[in-house]
Amino acid sequence: MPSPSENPVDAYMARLAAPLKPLPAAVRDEHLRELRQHVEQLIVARAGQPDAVPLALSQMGDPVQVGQDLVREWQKQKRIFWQTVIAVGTCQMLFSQIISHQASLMFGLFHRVDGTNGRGWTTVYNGLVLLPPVIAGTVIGRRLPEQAIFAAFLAGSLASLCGGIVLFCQSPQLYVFLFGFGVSGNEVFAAYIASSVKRKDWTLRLQ
Amino acid sequence: MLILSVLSDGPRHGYAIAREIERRSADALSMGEGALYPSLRALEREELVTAEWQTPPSGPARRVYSLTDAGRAKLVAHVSAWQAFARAVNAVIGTSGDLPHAQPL
Repeated sequence: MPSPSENPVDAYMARLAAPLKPLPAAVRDEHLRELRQHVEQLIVARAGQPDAVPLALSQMGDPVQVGQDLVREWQKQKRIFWQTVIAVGTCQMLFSQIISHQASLMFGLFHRVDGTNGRGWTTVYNGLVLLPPVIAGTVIGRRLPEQAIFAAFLAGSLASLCGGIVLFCQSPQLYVFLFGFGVSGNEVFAAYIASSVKRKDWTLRLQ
Repeated sequence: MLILSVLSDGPRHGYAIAREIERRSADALSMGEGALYPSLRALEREELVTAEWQTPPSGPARRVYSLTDAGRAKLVAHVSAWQAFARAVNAVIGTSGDLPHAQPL
């Protein structure tokens, strides 16, 4: 494999890649792939000309400038950073757990380990009612645009918060309903996290 | 406006956009073609175009750009504004095509 100094196209791409370092790997790779294709097409269009490569590279323009402009453009996107969302999500999930624990103590909404909650099939129903939002959230969350995922996450957080309020109003059915929404929002968000890991893109972008 | 105009005829990848601008302008509008991509990203951010990787029957996958409804509306507004501007300039300089006579020093 030729070194960048031997191959002008590789050298050009290396100069272009240098300013792209702040970008997530997936975004950077996509830029480089697309721009290399453009360069290669320019060279193919001049096939047979002895100076096809330098002319093509000249036609592309200054690689450092192009790279800097791409980074500047990426930075203009409205983004919520992963770390922030993780912190908020962790707090929200902990809050949900505390609330659900309180609910189980107050209403016997979920099976106890010994099965002696004294509410028979009602508790089974209350447990099962959480399954559809969990499944729907996981499945739908992989297909939604990022804005919708973030909206679902916020809605889930809000529902969990309302669930906490309802808990103190002694309304188990409404609590379960709201808690279902909360879980659903979390599952949508979890699906997004899973796809982020796969894409190696560590930001939640709200374009 | 040039990119949006080219995409109004249908989806294209970056190289094809550059060639179409070159063709329509009879090579009068040439640029560092790398600069096309930050512009395309800006249009994507403004949701005027969308992009997706498409694999043609032969050859590698390419990132193909398409005009959105918002992009089409923006193009209409831009073209209208440009035509109004061009009319105003033409009204001032005249549209006969005759260059003004040079004044003797």
